[in-house]
Amino acid sequence: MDYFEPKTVSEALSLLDQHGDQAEVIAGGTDVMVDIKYSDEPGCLVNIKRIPDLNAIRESNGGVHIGPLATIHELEESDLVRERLPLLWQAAHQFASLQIRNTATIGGNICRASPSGETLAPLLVLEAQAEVTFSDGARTEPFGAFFQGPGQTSLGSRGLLTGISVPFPAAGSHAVYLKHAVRGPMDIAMVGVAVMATANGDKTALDDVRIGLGAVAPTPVRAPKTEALVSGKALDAALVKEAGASAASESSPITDQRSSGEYRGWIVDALTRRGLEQCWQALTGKEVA
Amino acid sequence: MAKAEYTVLGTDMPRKGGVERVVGKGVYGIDLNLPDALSGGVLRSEHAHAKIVNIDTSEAKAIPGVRAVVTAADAPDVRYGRSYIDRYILAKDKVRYMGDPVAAVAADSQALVKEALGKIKVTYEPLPVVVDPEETMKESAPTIHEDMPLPKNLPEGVQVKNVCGYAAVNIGDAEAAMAEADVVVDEVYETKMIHPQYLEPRIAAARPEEDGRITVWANAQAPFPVRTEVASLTGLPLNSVRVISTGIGGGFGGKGSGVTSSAGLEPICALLALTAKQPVMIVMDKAEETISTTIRSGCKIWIKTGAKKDGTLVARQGKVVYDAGGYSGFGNQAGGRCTQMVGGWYRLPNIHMDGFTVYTNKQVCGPVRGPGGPQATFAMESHMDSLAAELGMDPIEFRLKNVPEKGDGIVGVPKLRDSSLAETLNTAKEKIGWGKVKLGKNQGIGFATGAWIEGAGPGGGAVVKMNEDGSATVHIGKVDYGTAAPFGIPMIVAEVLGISTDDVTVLNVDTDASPWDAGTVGSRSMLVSGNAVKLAAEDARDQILRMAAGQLEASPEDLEIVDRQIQVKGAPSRSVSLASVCNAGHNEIGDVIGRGYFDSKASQADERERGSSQPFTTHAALVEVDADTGNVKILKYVAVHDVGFVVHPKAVEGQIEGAAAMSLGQALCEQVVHDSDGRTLNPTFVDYLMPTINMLPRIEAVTVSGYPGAGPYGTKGAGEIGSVPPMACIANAIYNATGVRVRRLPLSPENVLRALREAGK
Repeated sequence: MDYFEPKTVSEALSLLDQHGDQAEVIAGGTDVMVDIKYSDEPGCLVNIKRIPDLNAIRESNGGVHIGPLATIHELEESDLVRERLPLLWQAAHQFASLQIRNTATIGGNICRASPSGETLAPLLVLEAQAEVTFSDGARTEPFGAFFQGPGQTSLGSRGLLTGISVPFPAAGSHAVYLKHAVRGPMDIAMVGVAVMATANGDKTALDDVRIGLGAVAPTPVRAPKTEALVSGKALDAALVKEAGASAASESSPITDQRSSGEYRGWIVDALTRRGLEQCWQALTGKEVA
Repeated sequence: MAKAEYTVLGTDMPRKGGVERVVGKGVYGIDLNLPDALSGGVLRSEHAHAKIVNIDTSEAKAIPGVRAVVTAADAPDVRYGRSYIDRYILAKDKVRYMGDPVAAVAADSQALVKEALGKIKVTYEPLPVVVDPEETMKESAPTIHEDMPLPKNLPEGVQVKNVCGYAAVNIGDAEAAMAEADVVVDEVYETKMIHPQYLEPRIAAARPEEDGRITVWANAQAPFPVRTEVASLTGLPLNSVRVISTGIGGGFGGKGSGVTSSAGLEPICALLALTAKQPVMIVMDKAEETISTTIRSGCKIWIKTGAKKDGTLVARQGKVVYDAGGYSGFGNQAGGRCTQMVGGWYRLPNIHMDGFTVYTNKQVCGPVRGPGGPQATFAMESHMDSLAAELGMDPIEFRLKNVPEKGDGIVGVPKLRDSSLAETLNTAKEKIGWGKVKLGKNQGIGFATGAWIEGAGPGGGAVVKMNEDGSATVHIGKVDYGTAAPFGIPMIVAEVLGISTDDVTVLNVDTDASPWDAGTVGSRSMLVSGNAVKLAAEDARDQILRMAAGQLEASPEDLEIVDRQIQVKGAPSRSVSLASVCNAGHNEIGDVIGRGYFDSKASQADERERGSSQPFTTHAALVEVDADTGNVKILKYVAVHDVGFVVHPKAVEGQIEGAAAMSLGQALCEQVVHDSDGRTLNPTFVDYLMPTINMLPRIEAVTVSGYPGAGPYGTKGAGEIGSVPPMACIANAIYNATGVRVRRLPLSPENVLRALREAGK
């Protein structure tokens, strides 16, 4: 197995062009190293960790620019993320153990494109944009288009994720990320639900409700029907119940060794209800009645 | 016993070898560094059940740097096993689970081993696979061992197949008595396979010696049985095989090879070394361990019990189907113990149990911490709560009504000389705050009792060799497993000889030098080696005092050793140093070598005569159930134990906490998941869910005293019993919290939520 440590993005891209499917990009290594141990080695490893300036977290154009090499712990430690992107902060905070957070990068979490990736549903809800770069140029696209299937992204084998742009959520919005796993943060999510909303002027209804679901479809997904169901409405117990069931019906979870698809559906229902209730309470100061 | 009676016993001296372990010194098997050792590896079956049509090793052998490729054809035509002699060193003719060893390679590097294993071409003819222990007993199931007979003790008229063990409990007339019961509860419980998941991987290393002998290093719990297997499977006499025990980083029965007759790693390594004529070392990979080594079996338990209105138990009937896996391994022993324990440890005059241990196409049963006990107790103690509920009785009162007392017999024990069960129940009730704690929504308290009957087993020896400075070097047959060897053994020697534990070195096992022992299993280290070492130290002390008596002009009976001085009792100024006597011993008797032997037969006869004192326990848990997700959070956990005399309180506490934590893992999340082809779906720690610290409560370990056991100074085994009650304890707490009884492990969020939904909650 060959090993490369490109010093620039263009050097990395030319290596990817040269080696195509044979190349595996590595940054934090928390997934790739495990894969190498348990399956066949890739033809070559392209370690992008040494490319400078790809780990910045800074304010930019009404939002936050995040470099893909920023570690999950750097997100967790960033005041900017904590104060302005609390949804992403919560996901980072519930992400595995500190040891993993210290080495895993947000770019790795995204490019792995595992449906259960902790930061993915929050990025969808935050309507963040991926900056993807190929040897012939760069473009930005929404993460909804970026994720194409389990382990599949629009990068293919020749692109690099070079930046993540997250717009600031509307002033006064509230968001929660709820993760369900047998062992809590120390485990891969069985279901992750991100809910973000604002309240109308007199705090009698929710506006712009966004719901993202992780680990219950081939890619992280939004739940648009459920979002439409509750947006512009006052939450009561019946509507919350309806919303939970609706979100479950918008998911398509699989059955595997961790749990049945049926159970994952129940959890989407439960966590969506919980997320909506928490947003309602935070935004209106009232319990859902 | 008052602490003041002893100088050393009852204190919390630091673990021998503890600092080395904490700072990462090379004490474990995996740290072994044999010069010029080849790497070894094992090719494992990719079918759960198949005929081996052909094995072609020619391509693998042709790779430069590959020094040995072996199959069953390269070993003597000998099988091994414990109750059934049903297994070859490497699979021959047939494979019986996915992970069954088929061939092995030794080569210059690990990469070459991997390459060579990939080049071995095995032609299989797949056979139907059976993974369900109930299915395997049916006529329609495939036959797993063509030449293994059904157990000789099977009752007449029982039509079964693939059964490799049968155990019964027959006390009184259960059928007739059941008809007299006012209340009868009839239930079925099910547990899943778990892997012991010690953190240190299994290793084996072997070096052929110039004189034709072979030295084997193993992080196994039973070096002498390993020696027996290495010798038998490679065709060497016992005196040509030397097994040296390395440090062990956890085993929990999973490293009981030789005892379980089901892992075979050491014989395979020896065969490779003998073939290559070079040292070989094999280190197992975690996923390889999870799919191929010995496990705690899953089982299905039918239990039906009748009681009078006042709560008096009158009869129990039941059946156990216990999964041995592809080979008999420890299945018959564990399944038999499980069957007995479903019979329980309460006063119950009429019991009938049938226990079947069966072959399936899964990995093999080992003696994992309390073999059979935790599973039996999940059923039996959950069932006791169901009975209490049916009777409308408080679960503690119901149990207290039926606890055995002095003079009673229980399953496996003809006569008790005392019984601590009631005291453990009352203490647990008090400590958890039953009836006093205000329970929140979906909170509940559960109890479960446990027992671990000290069964019959071989004895074992000890040698205490005095050095000329008064220090002692000790040989026992039990390995340093973090239990007796680094705690109780040096403490006993120090106590008897009036020296400090710093003056005592306990050697790890070397079969060339150590006394024979059956293995570090069964909570028997203190019983066997502790009793033996006490006698050995006393023997050494008697030799020393006889020599000192002349110098001090006193009779040996009037002498004592205090702080390395031999002195006349009551006249401490008349003294001589222990060192000088040991030194002088070289001119009188040679070495001072004390010898002791635990006479198991005599001990058992004594226990029959006087009645025995058995360890009992009650655990109590306070839990909260999330009714939306099924998640169970343990808020408080108390483990009350009678382990007889406590030699080292912290070590006992650690044993109880570790055992409870292990079974809490099985209670909440652990299981090996197989698909219908017999493939393990969760071989790594990513998917095999061990409990993490955020799931486990602080475990409050409490010991009760006044019930001395058969061990030295009255100790009882403490290593396994803590793993017996936790699963039932949590199930009972969930029942108390929600009114829903979950009868299938694990009590995972999914299983709990499913049960809640089925109950309409």
